[in-house]
Amino acid sequence: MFKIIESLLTACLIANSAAAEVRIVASTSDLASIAREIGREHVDVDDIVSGKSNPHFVEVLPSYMVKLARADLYLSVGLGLDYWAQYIIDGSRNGKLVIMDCSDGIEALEKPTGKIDASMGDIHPSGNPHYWLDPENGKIIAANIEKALSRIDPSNSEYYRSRLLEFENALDSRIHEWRAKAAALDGAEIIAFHNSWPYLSAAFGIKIRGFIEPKPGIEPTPSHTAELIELVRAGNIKLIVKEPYFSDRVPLVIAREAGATVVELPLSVGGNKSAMDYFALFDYIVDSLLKGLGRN
Amino acid sequence: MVNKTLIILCALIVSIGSSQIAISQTTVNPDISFIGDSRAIIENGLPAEIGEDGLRMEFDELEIAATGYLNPYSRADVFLGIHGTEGIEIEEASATLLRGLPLNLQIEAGQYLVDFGKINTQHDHQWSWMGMPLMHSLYFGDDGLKDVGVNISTFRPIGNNALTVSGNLLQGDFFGGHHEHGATEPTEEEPDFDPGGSGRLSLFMPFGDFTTCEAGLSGLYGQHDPDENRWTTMGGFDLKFKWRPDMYRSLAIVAEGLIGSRDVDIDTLAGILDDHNSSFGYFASVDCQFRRRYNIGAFIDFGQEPDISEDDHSAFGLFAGFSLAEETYRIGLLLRQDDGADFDGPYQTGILQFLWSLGPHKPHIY
Repeated sequence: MFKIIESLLTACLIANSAAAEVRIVASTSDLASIAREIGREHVDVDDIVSGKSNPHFVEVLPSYMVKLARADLYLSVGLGLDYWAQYIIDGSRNGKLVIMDCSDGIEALEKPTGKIDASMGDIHPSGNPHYWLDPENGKIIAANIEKALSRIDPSNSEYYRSRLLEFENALDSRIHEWRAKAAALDGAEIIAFHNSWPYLSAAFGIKIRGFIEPKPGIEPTPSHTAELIELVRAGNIKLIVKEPYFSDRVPLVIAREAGATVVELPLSVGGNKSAMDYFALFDYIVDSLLKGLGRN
Repeated sequence: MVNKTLIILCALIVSIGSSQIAISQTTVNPDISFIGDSRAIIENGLPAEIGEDGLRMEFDELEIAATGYLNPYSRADVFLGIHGTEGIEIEEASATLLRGLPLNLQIEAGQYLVDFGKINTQHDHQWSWMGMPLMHSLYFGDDGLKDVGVNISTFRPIGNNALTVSGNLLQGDFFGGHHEHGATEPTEEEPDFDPGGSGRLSLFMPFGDFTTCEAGLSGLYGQHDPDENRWTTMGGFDLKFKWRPDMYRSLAIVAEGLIGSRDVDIDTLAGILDDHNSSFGYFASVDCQFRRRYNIGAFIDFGQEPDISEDDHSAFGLFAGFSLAEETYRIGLLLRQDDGADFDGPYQTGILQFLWSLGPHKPHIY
């Protein structure tokens, strides 16, 4: 009997010592992936939106509040993308939760000027929020995460700083590789479903000639689809990209009518089974674009 | 005296951690939204005591919502409803202490929709069936169970599930069967404090990535006739099941039921032979979303009069909807048939609803 109790206690101690020190929940799988790179064995990371779901529209579920109730750190995308997160944070009732807006320090693209209203579609007043799709911004995200981790867990701050340096070096080296491969993409023209790709196009020299959505967040209309078919034909555009969570019905119609190819491009980690971390995401995106354009 | 005590209690609860209310409200504006609901209604076979058959246009409601944080610990939510020419009604006006309390507590104080079941906490523009279920309207009126009070709730993770326990201390002014939108109370006098209480226990369970379920049990005790010291006891269950594999498709099933027992006056002429009356009601709806912007569904609805359970009312119907872009503009169609012991026969209603929302993006709350 005594031995059973002793072994149970030992098992508990082992489990405790192996337990992660900082529990992190991230709005998206991309932020979660970078957090895992920085924290490694010192963190336990979960996310709210999987790579196959639309981060713009998230139903606020009590199970998300359960995740946050146990968390030490919440990683937010910011720039208005995860406006739903505040409701999950409030519902979690976690008064000790540290919230890090990972867009801190990001130079936002497409920040609208002048009067903004809903006639422009689902527009983000602070700029386009898909900033993680420029790998250079991955370093800023990582630095923000390191800052938050060092604040929550100062005893391991040296470790987090060293992991940040390693991540930055690894990312720099991969960015060179991706740019070398993507040189063949420079100037390539594509059609996208939603305006998710300005950071990616700036990083790799792709030109996005049009969107299947007539305005951000607005479903395609027959007249706009007809205009796109003409545009694709006239511009000899060979590739249409769509995010995993959008229907391929309209992209396939345009592709069939205008002789283009449709590629499902993940914009987040986990959006494809070959893109299961931040590095693999860009591997997959660059390879898919090259293949889709016949330039590999 | 007791009434004043409740008001002071509410004010105190709100003011804890909210000492900078004036500063925060002058520096940061709340989110303000307007939700308009206009309807074309056609009725056939309507009982004379309810109205006349024919087609009419109606501006059912303009809801004005102002919501925002008071400080890092609390938020306030104000919903005003304007119903045609009936004036402005406070639908909800409450402040909630969100975090920083022990035992995962949240405290809401003010006037609010009480969590007696799931449907009662929602505003009617959220429903494809367009109106309060009969079981609620017969007991509480068309606005449902809404009262001044204090809600205390706690939340406990159990694995991936969420257990929520909530209790309400209420002013007790909530029994208003057949009370219509915006209608004033029958007396101009200051209502007495006839305290009522309610509680709810709910468990939210995710099953995989796409399927969720929430089950709840509610109970309520309150005085419906203070002059005669008559009380009502109620119990209810609620269930919500949702399957949502992607943003284009979903299936939601909602079911609620309640039983009630109240003290009544024996009136042999009216057929009331016992000084207690037990009644029940239920509501169930199936709502199927397809191609992102369309939905179609059906519902059944049944309720008994709280005082005379033989006087029952039932309804069933079909609904469909189309949303231009998210929920900014929605066109809904409802066809329903009502029948009841008080009516000569069934009557039919068709409603074409034009619903719009002007204001900042709001997330979908489960």
